[in-house]
Amino acid sequence: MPTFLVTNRMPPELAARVAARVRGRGSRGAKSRSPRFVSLARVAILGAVLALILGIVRVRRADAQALEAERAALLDGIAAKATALSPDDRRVAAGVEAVLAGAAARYDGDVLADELRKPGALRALLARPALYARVDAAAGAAPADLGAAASPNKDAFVLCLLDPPEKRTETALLRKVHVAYSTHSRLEAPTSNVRVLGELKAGLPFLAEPFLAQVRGAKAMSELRRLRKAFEHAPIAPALEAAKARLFLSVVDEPSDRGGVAELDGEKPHAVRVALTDLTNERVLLRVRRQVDPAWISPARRSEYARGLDSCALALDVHAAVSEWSLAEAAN
Amino acid sequence: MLHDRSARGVGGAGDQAAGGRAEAARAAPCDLLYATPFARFDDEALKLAISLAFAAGNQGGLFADALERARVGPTTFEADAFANDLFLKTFVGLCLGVRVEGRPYVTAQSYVARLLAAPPAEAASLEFRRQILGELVEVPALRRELEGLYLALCRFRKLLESGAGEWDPNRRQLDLLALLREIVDRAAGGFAGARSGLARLRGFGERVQRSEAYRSLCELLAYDERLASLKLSVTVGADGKIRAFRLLSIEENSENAFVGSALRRILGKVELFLRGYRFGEGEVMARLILAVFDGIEDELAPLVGLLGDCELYLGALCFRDQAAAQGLEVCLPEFVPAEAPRVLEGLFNPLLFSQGITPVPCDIVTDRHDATVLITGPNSGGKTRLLQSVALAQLLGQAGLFVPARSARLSFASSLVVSLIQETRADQSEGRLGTELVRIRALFERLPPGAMVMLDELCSGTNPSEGEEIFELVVRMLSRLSPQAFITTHFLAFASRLERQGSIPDLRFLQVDLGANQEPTYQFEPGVAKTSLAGRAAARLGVTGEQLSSLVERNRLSLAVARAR
Repeated sequence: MPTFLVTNRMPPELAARVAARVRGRGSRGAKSRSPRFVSLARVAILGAVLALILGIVRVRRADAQALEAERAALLDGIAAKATALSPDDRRVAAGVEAVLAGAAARYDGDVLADELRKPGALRALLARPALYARVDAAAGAAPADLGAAASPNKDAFVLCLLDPPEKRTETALLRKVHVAYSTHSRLEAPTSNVRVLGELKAGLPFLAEPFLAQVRGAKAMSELRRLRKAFEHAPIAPALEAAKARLFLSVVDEPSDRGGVAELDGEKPHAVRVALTDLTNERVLLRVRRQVDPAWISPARRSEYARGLDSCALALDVHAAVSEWSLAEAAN
Repeated sequence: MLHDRSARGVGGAGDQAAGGRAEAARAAPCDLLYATPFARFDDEALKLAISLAFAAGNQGGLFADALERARVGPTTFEADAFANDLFLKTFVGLCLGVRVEGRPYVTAQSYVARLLAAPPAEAASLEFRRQILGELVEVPALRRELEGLYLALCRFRKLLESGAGEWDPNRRQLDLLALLREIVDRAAGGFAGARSGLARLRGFGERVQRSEAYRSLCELLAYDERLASLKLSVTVGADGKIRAFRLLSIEENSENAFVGSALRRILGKVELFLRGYRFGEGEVMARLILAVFDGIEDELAPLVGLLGDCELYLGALCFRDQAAAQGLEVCLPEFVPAEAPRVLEGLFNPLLFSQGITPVPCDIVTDRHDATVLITGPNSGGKTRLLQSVALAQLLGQAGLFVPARSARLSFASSLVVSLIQETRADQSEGRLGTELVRIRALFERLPPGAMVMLDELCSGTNPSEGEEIFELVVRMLSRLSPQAFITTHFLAFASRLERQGSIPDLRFLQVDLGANQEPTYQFEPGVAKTSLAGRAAARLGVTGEQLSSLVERNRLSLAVARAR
């Protein structure tokens, strides 16, 4: 058996003796030193270490491949969803908070676009996909703050604006308020073309570059799984729908300047600004400002439904204002 | 002449032809003691012991033990018949010690004593030794070479028997191999001009030098001494500190059989580690050293015998030097037939060196060797010392060594029996006469024809008339064995009668020569002494009436004083 201790310059007899000594046998064939157990133990340990290293390498490689597969699958899923988002959608979505901030910052007077002066024009316009946001003007000046503070749900104002009650009675308004306060599906049906700004903010980031960067930068499967779970649970569809909206309906509640006791649902007499903006060119199509005061509500219903009734009444006021301006225009 | 005599190889070497051939085959080729080499050691046991000593050391006494158990050649002498009475071990320690350049060396004295006590039965071995000694005397350069070889063997023995201790085991083994190379080179080169048996050393050395094992050994030592040569350039500043250090060139000893590439060296270490050895250059070297040793280990066992042989010859040369330092001469004797005259000129007793005195040499001449010589004379006249001197001369002569005489003409003796000391033992069942008779009986039980016999004060333990009767009987019986007998006695009248009557053949008489003041001159002349001068001896040793009387008075006075206190 060859050994590395033998060189090709050694005479054969010497080479044989060196090989014998490496094997642990003396000149007379007897074992001079044969640490076979030690040798076997070392070989076994070395083999075990190598096997462990190889195993670790293989496992890590498999893990890396699984990670990359998972990452690719998630990115593909995001990309698939993102294909529905056009550059215009992204641009409009990015600018909607600024529009809200502009509406909350100041009131520049009533506005009614010419195309809304025709009878039924407002109803027709409101039938198009729209974004809705209601926020307190005191929430902040920064668009992001206002966006975050916007009400996450549609309310009685949207319902009554899109589907006004037949009469302006407390009972009729209350029926609308009940719908607004009821299950999501009952409110959703008549207002299905309107998406809340919160939905846009909740779902769209999952199609945006920062989230993609997180996915690309994830180093562990657990992290990827967390991102996938967040993506799968994100309201992507509503966000995509919201991103398609080119109308923005904003309602800004101004701080109450008259003091007084607030109702149980927080409603107090205050001014409210309503604006309807074309997001394609940020042109304000409708802007009105009205006072709301729950004093007109019967005491039995006021404490619980003041805000809803006021909101519905406000929606009727907007319709009334549009009608009034249209009639005035027609008369002129 | 000695080939006819039955020879007994002490230790079991038989005289069978087939066994002899086998013996010769196993025999050490550098045997300096026997004309026909024979196996003196248990080869396998000795090789195993050497192998263990090489590997681990701590085999103190390996050489001494091996020499102690070594067989000696065929001999007709029985050591227990003379060794004690001749103080053989004392003689060896006193006179055959080895000194080189004035420095004494510890020798295997018991082995040398055994060699002396077993002179070779074959004449060829005797002549073989005489030629070696003669050449060592004639050619001082050869003596110096032998001394150098002996010193190298001593260093080798010391290193082999010592443990590694804190030494690097590889370093120790490499030093051993280097010493072995030196020994082989000395044997091959130092005795190129030898014509005697010393030429065997040259043959041994040259044979080993031609072997692959020796070449491998030299390669390994060269590998150890010079793996590579580096040329360096060192620049030193004015403050003595090194400013620059540059490696100019590296030259590897790439032709050496043990030099491998760096990769091969690393793989070799890994291979040994996986085989259960330690990881490191030391373990690689250990394997190579043992492999080289395996090839040459068969050449190591003969070095044990060679060391003993060197001690014998160097001891003999030192005996010659010692004698010369005291104005005495030694010689290689001439051997003549038994009927030829015995001539010992300038004979001295070397045992007297132990007393720090220079022995007085004497001349002993008898007309033939196969005679019985009765020696008479005063006590402390040198009679017993003469018996020792003659016996030692015979023993040394037949062992092939220098005899303590200026010139000597001897005849071969078939054996040697010396009875000088009459020790009293606690368990002895007989009185002095009985003990003497037992001695006589033992003498005749072992005495072959032609032996040398030394008897001191035969039959002195009984009344003279009965003792003389037994004495005469012994002498008559001895004559039938043609011995070379020397017997001392104080039976002066009896001796004179025998001299007058001349009825016993081959009986000769010597007496102590007395000087002008009746003091022994330690010379001997033919005849029977007229007196033993016992009174003079008594006076010398303080045993006269007057001297004893004064001692008695002194003791009585001392006792009286003690009682008075």
